[in-house]
Amino acid sequence: MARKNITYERLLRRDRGYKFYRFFLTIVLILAGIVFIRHVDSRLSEYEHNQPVNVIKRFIAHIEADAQSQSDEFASADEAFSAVLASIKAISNESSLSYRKISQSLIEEHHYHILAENEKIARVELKKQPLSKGENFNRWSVSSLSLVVSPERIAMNHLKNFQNGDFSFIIENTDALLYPAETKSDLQNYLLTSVKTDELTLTEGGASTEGQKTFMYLLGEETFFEISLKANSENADIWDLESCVPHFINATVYEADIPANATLYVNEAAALDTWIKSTYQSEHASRVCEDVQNPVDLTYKHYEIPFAFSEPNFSVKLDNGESVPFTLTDHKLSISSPAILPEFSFLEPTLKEATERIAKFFVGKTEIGNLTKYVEYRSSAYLVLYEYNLWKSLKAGSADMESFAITGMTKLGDNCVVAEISAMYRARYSDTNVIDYPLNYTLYLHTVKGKWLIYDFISK
Amino acid sequence: MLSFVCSLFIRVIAVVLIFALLLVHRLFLGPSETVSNMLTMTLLETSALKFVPRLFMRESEVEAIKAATQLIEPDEKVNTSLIQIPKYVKDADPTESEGEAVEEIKDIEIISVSGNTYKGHLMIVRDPSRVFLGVTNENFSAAGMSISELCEKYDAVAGVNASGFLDENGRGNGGTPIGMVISEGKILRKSDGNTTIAAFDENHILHVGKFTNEEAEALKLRDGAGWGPALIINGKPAEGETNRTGLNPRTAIGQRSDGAVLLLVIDGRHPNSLGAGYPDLIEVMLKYGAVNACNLDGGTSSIMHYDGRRISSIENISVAREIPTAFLVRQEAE
Repeated sequence: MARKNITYERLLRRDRGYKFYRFFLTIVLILAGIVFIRHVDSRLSEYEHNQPVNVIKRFIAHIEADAQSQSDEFASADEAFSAVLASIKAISNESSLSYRKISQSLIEEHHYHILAENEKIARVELKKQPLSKGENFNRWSVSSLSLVVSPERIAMNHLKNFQNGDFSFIIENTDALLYPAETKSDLQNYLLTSVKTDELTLTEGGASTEGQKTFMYLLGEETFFEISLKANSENADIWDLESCVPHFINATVYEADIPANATLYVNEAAALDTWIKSTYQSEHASRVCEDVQNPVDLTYKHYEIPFAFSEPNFSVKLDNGESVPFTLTDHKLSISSPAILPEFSFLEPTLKEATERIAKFFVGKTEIGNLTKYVEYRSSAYLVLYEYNLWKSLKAGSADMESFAITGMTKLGDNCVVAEISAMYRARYSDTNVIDYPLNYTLYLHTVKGKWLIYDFISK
Repeated sequence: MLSFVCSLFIRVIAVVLIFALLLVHRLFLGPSETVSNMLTMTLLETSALKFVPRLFMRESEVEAIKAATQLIEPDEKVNTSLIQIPKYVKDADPTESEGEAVEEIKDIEIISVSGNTYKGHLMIVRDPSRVFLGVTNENFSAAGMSISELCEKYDAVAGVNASGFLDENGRGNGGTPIGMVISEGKILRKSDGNTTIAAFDENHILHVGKFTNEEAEALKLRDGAGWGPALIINGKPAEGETNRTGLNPRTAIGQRSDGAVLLLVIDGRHPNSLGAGYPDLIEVMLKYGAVNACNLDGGTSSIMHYDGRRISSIENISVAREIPTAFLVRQEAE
């Protein structure tokens, strides 16, 4: 019996031992599990803390915080960085800030826009940092911070300057339209004295599209000034000035056609290349002189010069400094040809005789065949004259050349010249019926077997 | 003693299971929203484990995560002028060039790609006219075929899986594709209006987007299938508010400005390659010059086959998944 009791007691002690071990191990497992879960939580928190989206959130909180409560995480010794940060704070003011991810972001860099009331005010670039010793997850830090100025804000800033009497932007950006210093100061005086700055307002123009915006500055209901801004092709956050139009300038456009080998001077300064609107060649001269050795290649530059305040002082000079005469009529400047080129002065009597003969033909006093002494047979001139509507036929009566003048000559080649003719042919049909026929035409002459003949006839 | 060991074992298992559940709970509902989103999307993108997130979160929370991680596809049509297929691609021997030594241009090149969470392969096919869509059969009445069977059927030298397909609980037979399917100029399966597809037109330019049947005919699309979303259109990547989507095996197709086709397959569900998200696909495609790119079906379907052998590493190591369609590459013309 005692033996059985001893065995039973051993069994009881063993059972109690087993229970204790089970309990102990269970507690250990539970504790280990709790530690593990807490460790996982800690790692998850650390991972989340280092996520770029949370970095940008903390950065925004850093901007919104006052100086005392700002975090050290974004403190920087870089003065430029601090200056931009200060600017962002100033711009954001009391506005609530938010962020938006820029879609072009890569895996190793994240780019965000910071918005103040839905207006982009800054661009932040976060960069993944390499793992340091003891770190479990990569940190992200602000690698770049730049201000973003929306086109609306650019336009508004200009308006504020205009309202404060600062028109430097207009003067700087319209001097290509106006020319040179005297006019700039004219413009400044005009703006300062005549613009009621408190009446200036701003509106967005209807021509705005994605990547391009137009703003109009109004004085009352009239448009005073207009600017067009375009998003930079490499950085869409930057808006460049594309063009500006000063509507207050009633520009008088002067036109000038200048040979390519000459220079136009406006108020004693060379004309800007931006005023050249087109170039062209004198096709007619080229065609006429096909058979002439070394024809002159007449290229002309067509200028459009807008001026507002005073008529400019023009001059035209060749490369060797020699002045070229010109005429200015109805705001159009054209080069005057010398009346008679000295080397072709021998043609004057021929041209006078030819003019008289042509006039006789026009009044029916001679046949076209009699023109071949002066007009090349079957040339353009001959064909034009052949088809010409004749003046009233002078069956009886007399006719005389009242006046004749060669008003200009242009050498196209050693054997090719253009002559401008102005003459008056008076036909007396009766004592009371006298008609003056003006003759204004351009003659193209070249040599045929050594003889100068009219090749082309263009009536003005 | 034996009963002690058994009871102890049961306790250990119970405790481990409880803490395993707690661990999963912390992953879903713990302090890291990023991990929660990533895990949720990873499971939602599978066929068999879609239900798991709903065990821990409300339906509204799951839907909110889906909405937050959804890519916003570029809202524009492919600009075909951005793709200029050079003449030499069509010539017989691109290395001949007036006596100058020209580096030999490989007609098919396979490059290994990798990132923080993934490894994969990118196949570059120089001549886009060689890429076409292979299908199991024209009316999809039978089960799908493996990629090697499709390659054999069409005598193709290479291929990747294409369409998504009906796959309830991961036990589908790969026979019924989802979304439009176009093969050899014929619309074999009409557009459902919701699925983004990638399709080549008669000029071998890849179009990416949602097309109606009429639009597909107007564009003269010759071969196409898809799953979406569109990753890149006209060089513009898709947008999204969060950086991470689920990590899974992926397949994508893209085209460079010189017409070369990019076929990308990312391995996943392995210890050395968890998988990739959409931003990873976009990054790889942009890195290799894609102008247009589209996501194709992923998961266990993702596979790349080349020259008679499997290139990618799929989770189902025993046999390749049966699929209804695949983008295949013809043998080079003699």
